[in-house]
Amino acid sequence: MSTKFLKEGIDNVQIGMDCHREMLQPGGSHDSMLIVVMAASFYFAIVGTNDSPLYEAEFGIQREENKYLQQFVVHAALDLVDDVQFMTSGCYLKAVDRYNDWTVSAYVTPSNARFMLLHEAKPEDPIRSFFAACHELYLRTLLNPFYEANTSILSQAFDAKVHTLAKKYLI
Amino acid sequence: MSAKQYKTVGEEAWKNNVEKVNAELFIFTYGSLVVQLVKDYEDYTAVNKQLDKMGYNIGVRLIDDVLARTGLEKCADFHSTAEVISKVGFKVFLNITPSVQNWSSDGKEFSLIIDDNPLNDFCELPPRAVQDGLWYSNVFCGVIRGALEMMQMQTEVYFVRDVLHGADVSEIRVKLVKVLDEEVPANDE
Repeated sequence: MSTKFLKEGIDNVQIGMDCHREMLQPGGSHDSMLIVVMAASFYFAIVGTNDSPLYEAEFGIQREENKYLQQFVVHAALDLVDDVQFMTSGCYLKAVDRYNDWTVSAYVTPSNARFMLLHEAKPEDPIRSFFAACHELYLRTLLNPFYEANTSILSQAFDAKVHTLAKKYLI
Repeated sequence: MSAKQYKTVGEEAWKNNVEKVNAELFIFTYGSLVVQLVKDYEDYTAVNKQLDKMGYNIGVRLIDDVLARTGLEKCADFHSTAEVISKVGFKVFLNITPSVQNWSSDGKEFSLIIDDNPLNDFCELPPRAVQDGLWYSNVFCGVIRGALEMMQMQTEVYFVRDVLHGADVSEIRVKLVKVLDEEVPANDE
């Protein structure tokens, strides 16, 4: 990734933050409040045991220009996951990395598949629940005889269910 | 014997005379069997055929086992045969009772409607398999065909629709072709 692109990405983040502040100004109409709620963006990825991406999804508002930056940030956080995962016995590792106002939360299954969620400021509990529910879905996918471990998850049912979970816990 | 009596027979046999095996072990074994067939044959129609063949070989053995466990007598007509398949056969081996429906007017064809096929647990067919018409549980067809053949009934058994293809229930059609006479097999010396 070129530095120019990275810089562009950072600029965009800055713009995003500015918008955020404006909307959070007291006295804003209900409409703008609604936009604040919708403006939360999430990027979710499942990384297989051999570090290949198995599944990715975006929830909330999606900005085309952030797409590669999000992947980049999550990818960078994988190394931190490797460090943190042995410090705790649980699956949920909480926030492992930060990038401007984005936070990367991670969840490692016992078989070492990693769930990565890139999000803006957000309490831990819903994220924990989201991960746990996704873990359950992931397990069911693994149990499907037609699914081969460590290959991309192409099932539309899985995709739909993950989006439902995101709506329930995150957005 | 009425349908209700068959039901009691099936339930009694399920409760007392059947060795149970862990459902997941069974489901995964079947699942990996089908997937291996898909890999080996690379053609879903051929896989359907193989599953049917396997089922047939199971069916011709299984029927004796059912009759020995339950002590049922010869069915008077094809209607009671249908009831026995659903309420005794499926009950004893899978603990489900498909409903018997859609009789044809000549009484030689009926459908078994299965809404809770245990084999389908965890399974999701890839779009290609749905498109090419893989009947995941086609082994059932073979079992029914094999079992009925041992009872001197030549039948055609096939899946009409399947939950895994997006239908709300699975339907197996059973069609009686003819009643075989007791005869010596052709190549039997």
